[in-house]
Amino acid sequence: MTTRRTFLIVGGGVAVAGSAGYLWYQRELESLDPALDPHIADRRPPAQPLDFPPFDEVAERVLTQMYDDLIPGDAELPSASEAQVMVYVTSMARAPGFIEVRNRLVKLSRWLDLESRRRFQTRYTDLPPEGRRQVLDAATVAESGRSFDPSAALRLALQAGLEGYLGHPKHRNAEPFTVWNELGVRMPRDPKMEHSHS
Amino acid sequence: MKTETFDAVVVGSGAGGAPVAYVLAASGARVLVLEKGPRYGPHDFVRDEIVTCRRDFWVPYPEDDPHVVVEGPGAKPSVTHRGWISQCVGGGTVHMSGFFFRYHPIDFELRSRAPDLTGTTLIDWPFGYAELAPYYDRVEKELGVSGDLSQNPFDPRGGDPFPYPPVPTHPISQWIDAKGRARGFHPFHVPRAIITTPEEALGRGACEFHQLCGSYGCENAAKSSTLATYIPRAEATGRCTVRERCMVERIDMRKDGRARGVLYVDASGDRRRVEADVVIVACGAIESARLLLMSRTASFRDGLGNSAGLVGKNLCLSSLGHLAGVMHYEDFAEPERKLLQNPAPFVGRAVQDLYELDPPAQGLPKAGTFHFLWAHENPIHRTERLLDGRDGGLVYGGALMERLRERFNASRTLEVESFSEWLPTDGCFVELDEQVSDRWGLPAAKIHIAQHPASIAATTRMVDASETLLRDLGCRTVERIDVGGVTWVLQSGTCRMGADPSTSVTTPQGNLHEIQNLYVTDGGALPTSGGVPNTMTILANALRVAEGIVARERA
Repeated sequence: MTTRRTFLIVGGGVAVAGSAGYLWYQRELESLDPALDPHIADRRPPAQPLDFPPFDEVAERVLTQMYDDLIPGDAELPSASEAQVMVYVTSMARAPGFIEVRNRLVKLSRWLDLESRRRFQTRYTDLPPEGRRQVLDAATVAESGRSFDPSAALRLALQAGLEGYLGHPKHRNAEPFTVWNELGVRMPRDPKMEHSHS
Repeated sequence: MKTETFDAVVVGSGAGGAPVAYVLAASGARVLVLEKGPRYGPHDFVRDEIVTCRRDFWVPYPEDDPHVVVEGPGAKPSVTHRGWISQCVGGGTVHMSGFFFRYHPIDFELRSRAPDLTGTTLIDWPFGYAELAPYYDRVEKELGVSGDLSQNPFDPRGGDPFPYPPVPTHPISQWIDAKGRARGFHPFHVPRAIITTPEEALGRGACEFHQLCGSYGCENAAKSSTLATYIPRAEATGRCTVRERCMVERIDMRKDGRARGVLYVDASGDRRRVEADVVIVACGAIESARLLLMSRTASFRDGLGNSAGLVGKNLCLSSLGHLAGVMHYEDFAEPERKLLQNPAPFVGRAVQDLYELDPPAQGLPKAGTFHFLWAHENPIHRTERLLDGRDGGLVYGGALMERLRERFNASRTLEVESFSEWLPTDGCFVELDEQVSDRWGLPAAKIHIAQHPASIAATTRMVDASETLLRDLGCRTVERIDVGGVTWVLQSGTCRMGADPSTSVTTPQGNLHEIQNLYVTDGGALPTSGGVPNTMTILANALRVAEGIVARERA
């Protein structure tokens, strides 16, 4: 016959053992579900600026002339050279995240020279304006299926050049606001200043 | 590794995360908000197009943090910056234009209202407009929305005044009113998440009508971003900590199927662990799906909440219609010519007469909203539109200079932008890329894009109507820039709500069907894209979910 004391001792023991068992189980449930590592590559540092000049002498010469052909200016608007566009494009080509732009501009400069020699047996910068225009027109034709498409590169180059031409002149050490003033651009001259309409 | 404990951890601080952080902190919970991007202050906002709009100020460089986009079956994947909304405290609300419209009742029951529509995975919301209405009211008051909808017979809001008077509009808005009504439309004042009277106690000034609003931060906090509103309010409770530049790598799980917390890399590059009773995911529809898919465990081998294979599926964006109407000054006599040259920035007129379509467009009985705005003042962006010749070639040289003169000196460009329903389909979804990684070594989101033809048909109806109005207004030329294009920043669907786990990822209360204490509160939770920008709806739903969490925790 189980006495009350025995019951209390045995019952208490089972209760304690039962709680301990429950606590163990609860801790098991709360423990970490093993994670499956999501990484597919090692960590890498953020994109860095280019640590060498982005363009060699030939590329710089060709691109400078190309930009004057793409953005010639007019009676009041400066040409790309006058607006220091190449200064801007060079700094952009060094910036983090723009290595692909730099590579395409270099390839484009080579393509322009090769096409110029192919057509006229002379390099791009030695051609008269009409010859350079024909070479640029040829560059606007897409060449699908090839690893380098000059039309896409030329569009990219023009966009980069316009970024310099129409962006704030502080980015290219240029004359203050000639392009903006001539085109009536309503951007604040000091980017930090308020610009309210009256 | 250091482990901290909070009551709740919120991943993301934009429209989906910040309201939740505020509601939970105000209820007494200790909340940690982890934001991947930096925390900008007023001194960081510069009105420089190159710095702010053409570099990594808002979105990362693809070299650092790429997305991969596949545009159609069989297309070559491209590594791109597309699909990011914004990486900073406040998310996309910091640079948004703040066009704040409510969803209409049809947006909540579109499946039921479109029985003939095929080729879509569309479902109804698990609740209707009436349930979300009080939360829209809260957003207007707490965030700060100005407007006047008295001229819009289609808006479900009703005629109660807005908390703030409407933003003053350019005089051309009166022309739009007249021409629109002549065509049987009901142009109305666009409601804006901009305050028009100062709130000095909150550190917010009134709008100063800068030429540059959309795509730029607001240095006097007139734009109602969560950075200017819910985040400081949450911090003011003394129970909310916001950490910037923290990349959450995964969500930790317990063996009992509850979320345990998150593992993240902090600004110093150290890994840290947070344990919390409640985990809120609000990274944007694409990135939230990515986080759930990356957080695989022994029990959730296909990603969290993904037993039905639906995480990342049913991605919706917004079907874009975009036109540019060129108004040449010489075509107008004074005083209209002088009116066109008025520099006031906001046109502020929208039309919702095509929100519901009768007859339907290929079975879709709704399109959405179109609104008028001046071409953005950013000069580089404006000029990029001028590079395409009529024959598809590149415009350069003397021809380019002439176009510059025509567009900048001789004319003003009035644009129309439309937001139309993007129907979910099997071909539009997010998965993890197996080869391309971000700089933390984590798989990039691979985004497959496909648009239902009915969405494009509905957008075309709005584009046709808008073009007619632009010509009525005197535009000499109207260019159709996009018909059925993609508005990438308006994302939804990837973790959509529903009562049925076989067609939805989250419950009507916002938690994953399979994981009781893990919630998604960004656009990914919304089953439909709506015919308006969905930012206000994301905010309203986030408040609703947060209040539900508080009520259940108290119970």
